[in-house]
Amino acid sequence: MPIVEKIPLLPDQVPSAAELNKVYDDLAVATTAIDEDNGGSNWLTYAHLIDPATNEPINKLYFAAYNGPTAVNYNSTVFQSMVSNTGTITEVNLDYFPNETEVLRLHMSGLVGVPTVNVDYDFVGANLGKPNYYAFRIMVTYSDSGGPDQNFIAGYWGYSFTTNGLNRYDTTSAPTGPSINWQTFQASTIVKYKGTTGVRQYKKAILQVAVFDNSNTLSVVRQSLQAVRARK
Amino acid sequence: MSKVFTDIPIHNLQQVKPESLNRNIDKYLEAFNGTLDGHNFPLESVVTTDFFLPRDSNSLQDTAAGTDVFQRGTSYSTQAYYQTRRSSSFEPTITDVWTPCLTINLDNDSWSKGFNLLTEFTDFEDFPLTFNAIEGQLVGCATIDFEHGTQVFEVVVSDDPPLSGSRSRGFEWWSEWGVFVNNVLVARSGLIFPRRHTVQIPFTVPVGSQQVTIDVRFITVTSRAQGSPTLEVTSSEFNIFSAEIWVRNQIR
Repeated sequence: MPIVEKIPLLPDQVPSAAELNKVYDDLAVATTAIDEDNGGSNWLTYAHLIDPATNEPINKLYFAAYNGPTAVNYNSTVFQSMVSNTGTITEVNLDYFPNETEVLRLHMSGLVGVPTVNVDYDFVGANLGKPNYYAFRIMVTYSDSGGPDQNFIAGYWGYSFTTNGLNRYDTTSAPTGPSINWQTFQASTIVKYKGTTGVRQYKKAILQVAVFDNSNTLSVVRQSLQAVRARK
Repeated sequence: MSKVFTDIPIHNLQQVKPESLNRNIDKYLEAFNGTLDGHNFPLESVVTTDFFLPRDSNSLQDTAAGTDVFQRGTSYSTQAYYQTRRSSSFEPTITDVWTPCLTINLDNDSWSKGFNLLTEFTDFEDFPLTFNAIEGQLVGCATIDFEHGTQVFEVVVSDDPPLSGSRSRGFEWWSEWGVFVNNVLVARSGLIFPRRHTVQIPFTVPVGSQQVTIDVRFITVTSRAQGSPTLEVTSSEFNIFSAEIWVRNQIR
C-alpha cells in the first residue's frame, strides 16, 4: 500500500518549496495505487457492489411464473415444458457466458390442482407402483462456442398421485387411492460450470413435467421457476 | 472518518504557523495511510469486475465422475457454494426418475426408530457435506425425493376357501426429515404422510470460521414393522430417489 511520509515543519524553520510540495507530490502518486490496506474496516457497503453500468448486484435473479388460476393438464410420459393456460412456456432466458467454476442456482415450485387418477399401482413386474408417479425436471439449454443448442438436466424430482393409504384398503373395489389434491411441489439445485470461461453460453432454463402412465392426468394450477447466477 | 476537509483554512497574506500546516497535512495523510472508509469511496468505485473470479473451493474437492455421491464447491469474493447429491437420475449408474437409488426394507433391513443417518445406508456413506466455512451465514436447502408407505401387498383374506387379495399399506405411517449442521438439528420437514414426495427443507444458521458437516436424517414410523401373521408377501419399503444438499456460505 502507499505510505506517504511527511517532513515535519518546525517553528522558525524555513521550508523549501520542494519540502512543502513533496507530501502533495507523493500523495498524487500514492492515490493511484490505493489498495485494500488503505481502507478501514467495514468500509464496503452493499451499495458499492452494484455495477452502475448494468445495475446488477453480485447475484442476478431470473424469474418466470404462471400464477394461475386456470389449471393446465399434463399426461405425457415424455417430459414436456410446463406452460400457462395460454401456452406460454415457463422458462427463463439466461443468455450469458458463465465463468469457469461459476454456479447457477435453480429453484422451482408450484401447486397441483385436482389430478385425474385411473391407475396408481401395477401389482406385477418391474413397474410395481410406478404408475402412481409424476415428476418434474429443470432443463438448461446451452451452446458451446456458438454451436448448436444442447441441453442438460439440472435435476429430477418426483411425486405420487395417491397415498395408497387407508382408503385403498381393498384394491379390487377401489381401483385407485384418493388423489392428493392441492399439494405443492418444490425443489432446488445448483449447477457448477466446469468448462473454460467464454466458451459456454447458457441460454434458457425450462421447467418440465412428465407422468409415468398416460392414463393419469396431472393438473397444475400455478408454477414458477427461478434461476440465480452467482456472479461474485 | 468521513471525507477529509482542511482543518485550518489558510488565507492570503495570513501568517502561517507550522502547526497549521502540520495539522492539515496530517489529516490528509491519515486518510490515505489506512483509514479510508465507505464515505471516501463513491458507489461506482467498486464494481463486480473488481472481485476475483469464482474458483474451485480449497476445502471441498469436486468428485470424479462415476462416484456414488456427487460433490461440488466454488468460492467467490462474497460467498461460497457447496453441494452434495446422490440421485438415481445421475449417480453413478443412471436409471431414471422412476427408479429409487436406495430401497430400505423396513421389515428386514437395519434401521432405527430415532433419526436414521443416510450414511448408514449403501452408497450414501460419502453423502455428508463437509467443508471449511468462513465466518458468516450458511443458507441452503436440502431436497429429498423419497417414498414411503405406498406399497400394496398380498394378504390372506379367507381361510376356507384359502384366498388372498391385494391390500394397501401405509395406514398410520409418517416420516420426517431433518437437516443437521455439525450434529445439531437446524430444520425439519414436519410429518409427511404416506406418498412419494420431494421435500425441500430450507435452512439458515450462523457459522464461524470452522469445519462444517451438513447431512440429512429421517424418522419413519410404520405399523407394518410391528408384524402381521397373515401376510403372505412382506415388504415395507422406504425408497429414496434422490437426496441433495446445497449451501451458500455468505461471508461478506
